Amino acid sequence: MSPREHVVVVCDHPSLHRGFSVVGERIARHLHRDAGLRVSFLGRYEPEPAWRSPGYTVHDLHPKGCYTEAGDRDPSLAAALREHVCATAAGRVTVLCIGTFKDLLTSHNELDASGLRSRVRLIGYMPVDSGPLPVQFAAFAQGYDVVVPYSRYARAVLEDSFRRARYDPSRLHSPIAHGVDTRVFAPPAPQRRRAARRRLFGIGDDVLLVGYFGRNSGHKRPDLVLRLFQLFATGAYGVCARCGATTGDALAPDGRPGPAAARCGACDAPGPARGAARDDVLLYLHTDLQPDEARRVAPDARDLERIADRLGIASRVRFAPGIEIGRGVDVGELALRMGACDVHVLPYVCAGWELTVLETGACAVPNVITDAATPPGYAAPFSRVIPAAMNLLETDARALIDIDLALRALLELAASPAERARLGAAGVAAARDLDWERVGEQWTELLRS
Amino acid sequence: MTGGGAEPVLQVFAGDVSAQHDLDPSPPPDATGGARWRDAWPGEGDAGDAATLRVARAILAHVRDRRRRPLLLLTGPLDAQARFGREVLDRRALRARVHLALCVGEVTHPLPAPARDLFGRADAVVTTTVQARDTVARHLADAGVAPGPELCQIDHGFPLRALAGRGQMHGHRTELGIEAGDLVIAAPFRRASQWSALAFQIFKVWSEGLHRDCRRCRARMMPALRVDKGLLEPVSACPHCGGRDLEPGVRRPRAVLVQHELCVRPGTPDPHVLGEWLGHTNARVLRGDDVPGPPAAPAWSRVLALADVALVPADNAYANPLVAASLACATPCVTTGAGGVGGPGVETIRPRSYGWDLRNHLVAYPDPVAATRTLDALADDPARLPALRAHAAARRPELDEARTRGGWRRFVEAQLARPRIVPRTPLARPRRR
Repeated sequence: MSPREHVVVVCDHPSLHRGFSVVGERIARHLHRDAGLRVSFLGRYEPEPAWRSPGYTVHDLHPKGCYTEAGDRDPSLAAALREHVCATAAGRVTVLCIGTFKDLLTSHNELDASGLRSRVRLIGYMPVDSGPLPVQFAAFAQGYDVVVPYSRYARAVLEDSFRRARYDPSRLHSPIAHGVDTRVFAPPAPQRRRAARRRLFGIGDDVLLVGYFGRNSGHKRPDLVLRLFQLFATGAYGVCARCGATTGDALAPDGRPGPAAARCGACDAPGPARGAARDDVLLYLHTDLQPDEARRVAPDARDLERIADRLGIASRVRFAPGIEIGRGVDVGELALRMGACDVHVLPYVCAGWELTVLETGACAVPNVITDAATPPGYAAPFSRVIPAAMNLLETDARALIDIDLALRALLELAASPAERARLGAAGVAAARDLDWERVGEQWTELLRS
Repeated sequence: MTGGGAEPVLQVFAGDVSAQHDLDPSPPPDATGGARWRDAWPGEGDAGDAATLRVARAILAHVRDRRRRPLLLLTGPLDAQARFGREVLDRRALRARVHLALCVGEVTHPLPAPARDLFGRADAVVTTTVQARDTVARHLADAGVAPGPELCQIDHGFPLRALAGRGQMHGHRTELGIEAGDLVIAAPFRRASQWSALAFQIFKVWSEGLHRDCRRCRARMMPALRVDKGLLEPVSACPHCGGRDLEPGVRRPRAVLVQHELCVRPGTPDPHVLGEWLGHTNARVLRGDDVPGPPAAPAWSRVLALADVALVPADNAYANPLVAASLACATPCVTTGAGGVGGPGVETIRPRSYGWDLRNHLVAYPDPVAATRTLDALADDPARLPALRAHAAARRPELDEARTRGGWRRFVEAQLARPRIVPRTPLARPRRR
């Protein structure tokens, strides 16, 4: 590919505070600025009005993206693809699709239906949250010339799907990770951090601030963060004298605290010692609140304020009421809030990449995450990776974090500033390896191949 | 499909008739007294269209005057009932012409919006368990439905004589290759769900000894599911004490899991695929007709009577009807001890985790480790299973349909006694010139 050849990126709008938006914007920026390619960005969803492109062309698609009555079609995308692909007089254009399965399916359908498919090299940056992928997925992925997974885990799941469908896995590229902007996501200076904690949360250094950064979604599970924090803050658990395991107390059917644990959940020994309540802890949920079910944008959101209230921890939880999906705080402010936390907890049941794990790591914040999907592959050095208590199999596998082990990890991190500092330093180092500058070079290499 | 008599009582089963299940609560044939008209509404295809017409005509035929609406008892899976409400009652403007009573068994998490809507517009809702009734009440309160329908709980009753008995089934075990001394475990779920898949996983782990016990601290660990490798990988270190001296679980080659073929819908795990993906195990999925036993007995009862114990690792909203079904077949049951499920003949396991569904209701997830410990105890203690079975058999009479017939009769009489006046459509008086 010569330097001025054309790359059309189809993704969530680059102005938005969405995971795919961040990824698409950083890749497009690199290809435009550092690789010198001609980049057109076709952006889904309502853009942020004040945002300005760093130089590449941006075309706004239908505000609802492909989630309209048109099924797996998006007429606005068809028109934009025609405009931008046909604008290239000679040679092949590369279309790079980033998004959900449905987004990628729609992009493929539109190229196919408009007769443009043979004129472009089609690359899919393929999201894999969990597995097994249905074999129909492999058939759809065959429509792409190059399939790029995010991680080795994702590649293995894709390979398994291809193998079961008896397709040639040669079009699977080696993984290209997501990245992080380490100039923004970095540990704040102690003075600045202290001031931020005082300004944002009214706390000093003596309080342990547990953070959650992510959408209020069915796979990230902020409800499980509330349950974990309830056990941690109120001492609603037992500690086994024999094996040292923690066992959370039961909940009543209405979600209020229930009877104390009578036996150890790990070794079944009777009479675990009671846990201790703590006054020196606070939970910050940086997420969208969608209490009104009828007006819920994300159908899988939970009413977190109500759950916190039932658990009896409402006064110990800080929410971020202004946050909406795609509309968050300025990225510098986000990094500061992350850096103000002592521990970040993300008990996802499945995960594509989870940018906030890497971003909090870059801010020197240790993580507590589930041992499932992609994140442990890059975050293990700066995280406590907690096994699943069980796997809920529906169309794919969902790993439900072992809350008792997560509690134990949180207790250990709370008790050990030195361990938090060690993990924090490891997070900064891991982020350095995954800086967008480095990741971008892999995209340049692929697009020039 | 016949009728006649003084008081019109219509009963419609909504859903796929082939999936009709005796675990769906419905009144015994002679429990409602008076006239009865029964039909099924499959909801899809030409048969659905014909049934819609038939049911609509029947309802209209039974609206004898504007003062007496017929009592319509709607049974079947909740989603099918919701579809019936939308496509028959609403589209044909029949809702106001019937006194609608929904008979529901499992109240699912999350409750689909159409079902919630139907609850809000019903005159009465019958559940078979207190837990299900409370769940419906919570759903309605959360949806702001006031005044809601009358909520009634009528214990589940089974026609015990029609069910397969353990003695009858014992001889059929050899047809399935089950030998004397094998431990047969039934996962009696009727629809594929995360719970049926969990039962499969627990059985696979336990029967193949994939769990590990730490020799130092005695903690037990389940294997990790490696999605990218498609296997259950035993742990190599104890997460509690860090010990690496782990004792493999005992392999149980003489354990057999039997499942009645599940109704698989989009978004639910197919047990065949699951078996293939996780590796085939000593589990059998039996089609209804392939379950040996008395042909007149429902297939689910043949599966349960074939088994030594039923395994129902599910949130209590799901578990209750299945526990009742097990006991009706004198088969003991291992299930989650949340929400009051239990009693003699039932081994309860503690919830391991809690989460919240989309309606912000608590879901209690059973502890797979505790489930394997319970199965260990049943397999290793020769006295335990017979004792449990005796308790289960002793509870069988509680579930006799004859005992619940009175409850249904009183319910129907009470509903028929309610004012059931069809609202008049206001007529416009012609203006005089």
